[in-house]
Amino acid sequence: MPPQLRESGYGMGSTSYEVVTKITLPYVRRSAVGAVMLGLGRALGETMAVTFIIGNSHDVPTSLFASGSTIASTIANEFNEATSPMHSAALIALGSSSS
Amino acid sequence: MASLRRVRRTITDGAFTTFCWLATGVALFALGLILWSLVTQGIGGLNLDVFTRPTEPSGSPGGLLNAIVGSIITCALAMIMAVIVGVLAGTWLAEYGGESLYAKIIRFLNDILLSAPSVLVGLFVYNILVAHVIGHFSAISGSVALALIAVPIITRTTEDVLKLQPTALRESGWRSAPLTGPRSARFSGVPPAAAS
Repeated sequence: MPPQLRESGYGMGSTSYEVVTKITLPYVRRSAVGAVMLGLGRALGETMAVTFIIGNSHDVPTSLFASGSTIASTIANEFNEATSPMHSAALIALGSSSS
Repeated sequence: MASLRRVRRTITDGAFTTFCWLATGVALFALGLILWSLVTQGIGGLNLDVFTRPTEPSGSPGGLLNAIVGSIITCALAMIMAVIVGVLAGTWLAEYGGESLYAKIIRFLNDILLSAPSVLVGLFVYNILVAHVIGHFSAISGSVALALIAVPIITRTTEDVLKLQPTALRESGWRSAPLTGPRSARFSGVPPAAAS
């Protein structure tokens, strides 16, 4: 964003809080939302960090402290062991549904 | 009263600034903690064998040579493919595509690819290369998958950086008549952008 915008805000006597919430954030709102969406996409597709630690149980957990699984971790865990065509096809369908 | 309003604004600003400092502190603290535990716990396991011997079956001594070599080969191949496609596509988007419908579609699809989960890219490459074209697992399939992940990022960054170039710099290439089209991009756009 142009520095003049921010500086004119300070020149009018605004505090940092007012400049950030009333000038900077509205100016970059579109890009900020885009950045959040990119981050969401990365978190949704993250595979190994989750696979290591989530436990990969084949149940719907009833507690946040129970082990579970995510789409990405299920694919990563089972793809090498999928022997029947139906098993790998199901994993591919699972992956397509997450995109 | 004006002074009451001023006190409120000062307090709000102070709270906001403190919160920003705290949030940055939490992120930096996590980063520092990771680096610190990596170094303190990892330094003891580091010796020459790690870099010179392949991984042996569990229990017997060995190293990580195979993984290191595999990473180098796969990443090098992926970068060759991704840099060629990504830099050319990004240059086209910034210098030629402009706001045409085709460029808008390409830009939109590139943004979608940018956030595609890596697991999906893996499934896609598996189905095309591993299952059908090549028929077995290979380094080339791995590097194609890595290239597919890298291309959208390179395209987007190249385009953004080229667009940051001052218009005057680009136009000075157009003004001296022979530098049209690709030569203009080559002389005025890409060299300053390469540093970024």
